[in-house]
Amino acid sequence: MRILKLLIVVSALTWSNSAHSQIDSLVTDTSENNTSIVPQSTTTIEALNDQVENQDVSGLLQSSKDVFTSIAGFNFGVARYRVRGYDGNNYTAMMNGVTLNSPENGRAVWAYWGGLNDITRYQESKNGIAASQLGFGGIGGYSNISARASAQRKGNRVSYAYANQSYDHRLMYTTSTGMMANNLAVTVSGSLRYANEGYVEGTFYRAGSYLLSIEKKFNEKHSLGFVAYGAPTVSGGRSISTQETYDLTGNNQYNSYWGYQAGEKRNSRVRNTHKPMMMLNHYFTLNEKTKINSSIFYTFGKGGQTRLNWYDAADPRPDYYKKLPSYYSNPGDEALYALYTELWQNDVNTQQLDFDQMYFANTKNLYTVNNADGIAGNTVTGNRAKYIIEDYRSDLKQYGFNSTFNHQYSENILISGGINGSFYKSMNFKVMDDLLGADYWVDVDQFAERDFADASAAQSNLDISNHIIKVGDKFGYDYDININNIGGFGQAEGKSSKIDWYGALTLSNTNFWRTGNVANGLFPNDSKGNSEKKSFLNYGVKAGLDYKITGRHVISVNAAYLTRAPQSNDAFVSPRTRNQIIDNLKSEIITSGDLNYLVRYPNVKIRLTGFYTTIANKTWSRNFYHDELNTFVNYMMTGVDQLFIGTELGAEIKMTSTIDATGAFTMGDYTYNSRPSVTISQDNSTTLLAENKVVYFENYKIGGMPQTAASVGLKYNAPKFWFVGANFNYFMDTYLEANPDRRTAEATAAFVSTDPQIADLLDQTKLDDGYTVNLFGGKSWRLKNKYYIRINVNINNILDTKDYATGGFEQLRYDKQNIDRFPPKVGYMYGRTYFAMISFSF
Amino acid sequence: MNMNFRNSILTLLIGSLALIGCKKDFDSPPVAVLPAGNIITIDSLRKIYTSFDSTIVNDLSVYGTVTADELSGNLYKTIYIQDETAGILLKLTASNSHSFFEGDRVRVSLKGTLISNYKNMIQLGDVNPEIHIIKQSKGNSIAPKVVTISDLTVFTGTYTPYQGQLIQLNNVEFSCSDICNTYGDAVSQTNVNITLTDTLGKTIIVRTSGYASFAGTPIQQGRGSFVAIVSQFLTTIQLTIRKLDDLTLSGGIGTLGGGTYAQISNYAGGNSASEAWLISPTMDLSATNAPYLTFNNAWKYTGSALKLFVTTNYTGNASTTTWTDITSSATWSAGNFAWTPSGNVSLMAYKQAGVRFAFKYVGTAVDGSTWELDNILVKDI
Repeated sequence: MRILKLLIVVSALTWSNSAHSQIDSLVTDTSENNTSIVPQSTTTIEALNDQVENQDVSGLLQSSKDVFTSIAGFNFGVARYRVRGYDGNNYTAMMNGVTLNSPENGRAVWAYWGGLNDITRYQESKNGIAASQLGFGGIGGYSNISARASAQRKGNRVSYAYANQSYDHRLMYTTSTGMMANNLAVTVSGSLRYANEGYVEGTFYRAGSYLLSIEKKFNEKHSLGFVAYGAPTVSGGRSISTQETYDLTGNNQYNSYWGYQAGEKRNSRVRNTHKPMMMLNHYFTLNEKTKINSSIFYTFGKGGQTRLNWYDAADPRPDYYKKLPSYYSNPGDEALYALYTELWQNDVNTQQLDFDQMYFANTKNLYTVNNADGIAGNTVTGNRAKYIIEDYRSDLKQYGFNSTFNHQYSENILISGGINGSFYKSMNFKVMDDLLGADYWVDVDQFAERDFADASAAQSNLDISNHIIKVGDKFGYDYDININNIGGFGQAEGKSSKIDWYGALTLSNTNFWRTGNVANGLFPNDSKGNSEKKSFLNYGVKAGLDYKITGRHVISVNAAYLTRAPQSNDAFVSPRTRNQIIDNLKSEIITSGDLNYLVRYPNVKIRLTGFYTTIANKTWSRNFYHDELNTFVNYMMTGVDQLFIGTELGAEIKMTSTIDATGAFTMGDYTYNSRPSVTISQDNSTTLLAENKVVYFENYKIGGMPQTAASVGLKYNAPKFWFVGANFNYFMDTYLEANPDRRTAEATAAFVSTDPQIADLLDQTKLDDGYTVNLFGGKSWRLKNKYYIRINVNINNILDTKDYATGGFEQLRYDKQNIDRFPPKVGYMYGRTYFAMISFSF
Repeated sequence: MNMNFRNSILTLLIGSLALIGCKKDFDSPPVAVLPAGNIITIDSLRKIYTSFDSTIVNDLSVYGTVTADELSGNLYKTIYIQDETAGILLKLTASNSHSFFEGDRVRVSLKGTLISNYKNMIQLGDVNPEIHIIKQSKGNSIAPKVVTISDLTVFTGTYTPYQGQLIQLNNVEFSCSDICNTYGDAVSQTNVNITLTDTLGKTIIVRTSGYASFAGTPIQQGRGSFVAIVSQFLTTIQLTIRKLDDLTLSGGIGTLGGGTYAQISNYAGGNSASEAWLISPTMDLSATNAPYLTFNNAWKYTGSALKLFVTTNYTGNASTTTWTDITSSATWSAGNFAWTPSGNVSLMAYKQAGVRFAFKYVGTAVDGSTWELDNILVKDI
């Protein structure tokens, strides 16, 4: 009976997270599913530099105890909502105090520990600018997963979930010994997730995960822990495309990445990642007042993303703009328009990739390569591949340490601080994944081959010219990005009956450089070896104050000012081909403040916040293939400032002993706030297409998320250990991410104010509003006083609305005379989805 | 909680909402404004030409609607625009056959263009379609002015007042001497002048490029209305056909295809049972995007319909080959030797080597049609 009571208490306490059994399912839903629907920031999915992993932080949000953040985390994730409009690199994710954010892009990738929900559910988190004894953190907040074996709940838990999103089935098992008589604690957790075909046609999912955590308590002062985890995941990707393709197929989840091969569906974009991590944690209680926790960690592994490539052949992508009816909308092309419309509506090999056709083309291309592999007189004859699937790899090795202490200086003052270091290297190259029936591929740059008379210019690797590539061979490019970071922080916190306060400082140094492993024909003197080493010294300061009007009413104010080294991702002009670094690379400057009013009654919890943040001096790099120039074009914008103003309101009210109500509302204005300068270069030439062009970008909205969102919910907690609830969520003020190049004097030069092109070029598209209704419920049973069975079910978007576009972007390529020629790409929210789970604890 | 405090919270909420609520305009690059005084009519533009060619240096613009485009190939690097006052020929620095079409309303930015006179035809040259022509809207129409041949040949000074304009002549016909010609010379791709006559016996030249898509088409016979653009060469007035749809001549014998065609019949004094195949040469369609077959067909007399087949593994013998029946993909003549275009018969499913198609004719001892086929073409998108 005591345990039962405890269960009820736990359930009530975690109501802010909508009952803990639901956390499990929802953490799964939003952090592992929906992963690649729409990029959450300004990315072009078709560009080569799209993120191999996404930057979903909803897993972090859901763990929050904060009244607003937890509601938003559960309900707004499907709309690509981002708290306060921030990019994922403003949130710090940690495990046992070790930072998990990638040094390369600043973001933590939830998928690397996907499926370990039994462990990752237990997090300490804070949102916004807040005191942290673990590190300085970002302005978005932080979350620390506790994987310490002694902190895990003793017992066993096995669960099975059935869903219809990324995966259909999930099996999970976790066992924890608790601290045993021999002062050893052990936790083992593992899971399998699988879908033959996910919610989106042509996608699939096969993932495992494992975690081992051991802790040995040596004495009252010293404990040593070891944690190792990983989540090998293989999944098929989904595209985002133009509205025309959705209209033609009648499917807003249309996925251009798959096609039939010998009657079987095959996905051309397979993501294959496994980046395990291991750490040793030393927990040292020096005395009653002082604790020192120190860790060393090592993480490594592979990240791969396959794509099609082709040589001397037609573009195989079904949604290539010349294969769409709209390309034939001019007078005189009526027959072609009708033909492509008919084919798009009825022929699956037009709608989708046609692998059989690619195999056929590859087996009919007998070709002789002279002086193959750089050996004079060496001839190779066989079917040269026209189409291939190549694997873009970004493997990593990183090790590091951190050590933090906290010391109770006086009854009311706690001092903490720490140092940390990380040594990171990513290894970036292509590997031949599938020759699609051909005998070989030749490692030359077809764009350079076309443009330069000198045959050596086209060589990807001057040391092995005319390199014959077979499955498994590295080719194309091969470079490392090295990032070393050392930092430290210090913090003081004080408490009194009326006022709580904190203040913190940080200082860090970041070095990064590129190491080219091959000399490439276009840039023979600037591609191999080390680039210039960039070094940035950064600092930050933050402080906050809580004024307790009464114990129930608190006003809190927080402010932070910090600088952040530019991300190496944005620093290189064309990292695949050369060492050149963008001019005027500067640290970002972040200024942020918020003012909060908190109400804390047992039955009523409210938070009302206003916030104001600027992130200045950002660098923004993208590249995309330009098929008139026949090359990749690199678009580098410096001096990008962003402004985030908004308000958040969250409320939880226990209306009766069984009925709870929740509400969340946020309204923001997230905009660009400067006139950045842009330089445009080409992969196959040193000639700049533009230099220091001014982008008139002030007040353009940051796209790809609802800037206003609201949620209301009701939940009934039955005394007999079951619950049921519903939420209504509304999303608005979502904008397409604007193409900066359209907002330049060069783009508008040919026009006068009355020409329709001016509005076409300059206006930013606002997407329609959307809403969802979600239902959830669950029940638990106790057997023989020691076993528990729990069932819970979530149905999201029960009304099955499929026409809410959650975001998208204007294509970087555009025709200023005719903006509709390259229409924007948009992504849609899923229709009805469900997640049902049964678990057994013993 | 005291009132002051409540107020300050309210202020916070309202303040932040107000901060968000203030509507900030999007930034904008400097955009030129065109003063009303800088907009001139096409007539004024034409009058800028006095006695020598001159490049326009002022920021002037004209607005007009495209009356003739490059689509049919009868015009090359040339389009015509017209407003309420006049029409003018624009000489483009590059062909732009996929940008500007009949019915597009455009602004032509005149700075840098050249107003000139070629053999008494006033034209605007050096027009870069990427820079000087800015489309305003699509789908506008300009009604042709209905005139007579005599109207066209009344000169105002050096010029016909209809120069560069879209006109319509009614009750006209081509003078067809012994053998009717084609509109242009599609074989040697040279221009051809043919003569149009009205009921009063007045004549006017219709000049057609050998590159026009309809150049090889036999001249349409009969009398009716004729829509064209007026141009001038020295003192000769010439008409330019935009597209054959503009001609509604009737009364003559329309032919489609012309020249020789394939014919099959099982009738020679009486029907005899027969099966005959017309089989194409082998084709490699593997490198195509969207191949399709077109042909014209006509038939008469009772009998089985012609069938259309395709194969990818021809054995050398029609009867042992496995054929796929694609008869239903084509449009067939309703009979009475009415020539009928087949429409595009998709060969998308046969993008490979070794493709042949075939027409199969079957006649019996009691009946049999006569079938005719012409202009059999396999094209790619």
